[in-house]
Amino acid sequence: MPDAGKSRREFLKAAAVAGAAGLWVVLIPKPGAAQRVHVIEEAKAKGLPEWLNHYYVYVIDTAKCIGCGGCVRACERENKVPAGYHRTWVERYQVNDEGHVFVESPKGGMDGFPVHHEAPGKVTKGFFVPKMCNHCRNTPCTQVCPVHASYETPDGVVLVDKKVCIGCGYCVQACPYGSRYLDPRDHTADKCTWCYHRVTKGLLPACVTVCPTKTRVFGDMKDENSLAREIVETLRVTTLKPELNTEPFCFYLGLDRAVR
Amino acid sequence: MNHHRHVIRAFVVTGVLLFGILAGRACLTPETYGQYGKYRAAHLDEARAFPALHQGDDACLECHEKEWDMADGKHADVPCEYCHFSAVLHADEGKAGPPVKDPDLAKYRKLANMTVDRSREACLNCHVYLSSRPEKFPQVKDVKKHIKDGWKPDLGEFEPEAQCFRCHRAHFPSIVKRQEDA
Repeated sequence: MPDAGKSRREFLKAAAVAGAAGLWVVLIPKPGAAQRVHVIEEAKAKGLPEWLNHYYVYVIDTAKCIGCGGCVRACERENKVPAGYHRTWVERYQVNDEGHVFVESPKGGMDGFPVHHEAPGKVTKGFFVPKMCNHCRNTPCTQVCPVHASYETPDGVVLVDKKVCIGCGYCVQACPYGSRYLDPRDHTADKCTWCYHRVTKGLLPACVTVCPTKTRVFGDMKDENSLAREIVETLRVTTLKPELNTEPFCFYLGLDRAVR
Repeated sequence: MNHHRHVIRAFVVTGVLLFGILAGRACLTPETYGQYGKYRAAHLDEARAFPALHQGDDACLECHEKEWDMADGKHADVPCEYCHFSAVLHADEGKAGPPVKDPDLAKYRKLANMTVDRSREACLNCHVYLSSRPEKFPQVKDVKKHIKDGWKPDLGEFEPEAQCFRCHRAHFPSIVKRQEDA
């Protein structure tokens, strides 16, 4: 029957089109770095705000940190962090001759470190490690958010939309760095924002502004004159817990193996 | 022959459900959601609008050129706001300004006046000996011994509890520099 032959041809045509469409769906770029770059390119084409052309980066040189806690105090003032919570904190590490590691961070290092808290035995090495949100590129905290309150901005900062957050605390548990807390004032998730309100105005984050030893360096991967970019590109930087594949964008210099 | 009614009912129920879901979703989705990605785009502007307290050294330099030139030696690179606290409070709501209304910031009122903390503790926060500090960083292991050994006769009678500023100046901590200055 000629009609049947025609319909078969049409069916095969349609099947080929559908197959191609299916393949296209499979090949759509997955959410990730590539898509973010795509978003930025689109924003540029549309003439969207200039801040979309930044990609922020943070470097911490642990060998320079003196553990004064100035950054923790500045952060508390700048961001009105509730008492007892810290967006950034400083940890003191002491390793003795038996290989035991002693870590402490009284009040997040806000008031400095007590002199009498020397570790037992002969301390063979000691150092301070400032910590905060690592603003990961492959972050678990935004992935678990059921309401998309937590997200990555196009300029590389992980933020929490407090108007959308329902305070379920999944992200607090998902963060492997302990960088998040539930704000007791409104019971929503809160965290370091790299002082997004400052960096988008051309200022440095509060912790970087007050750091007396230049331990903390903030920069922009899209700025050729940025010191942080130069460090990341030319020196041997590492991140915290690289085995978790969270791809932090906060890089460390001189990190010891004892640091977890 | 009346079986088509089941089909119609199924279509109607599905249609109502679908409409309900879509309408509910449209009502619950925030306004600017999805503009840049899977988040409320308006939050970007809200996050940027938060007021900045610290202003950086350049803001201090606008008025305090003299103090800027005075800073020398090892403390030249210490940011002003490390010791003097947030510049915005000082400039906007300091001595001459109106009282600080924000209860969260009212406790910094005293700091807004740029009261200088000359206590020994303020200095020792950075300079007391801790094994975890970098070795080359200037640290005082025994404060009493440091005062005793460093005491010069021209300072007058020996004060075992003397504050650091008796010999050192915060803006130029080297004693040599201070003696030249005097």
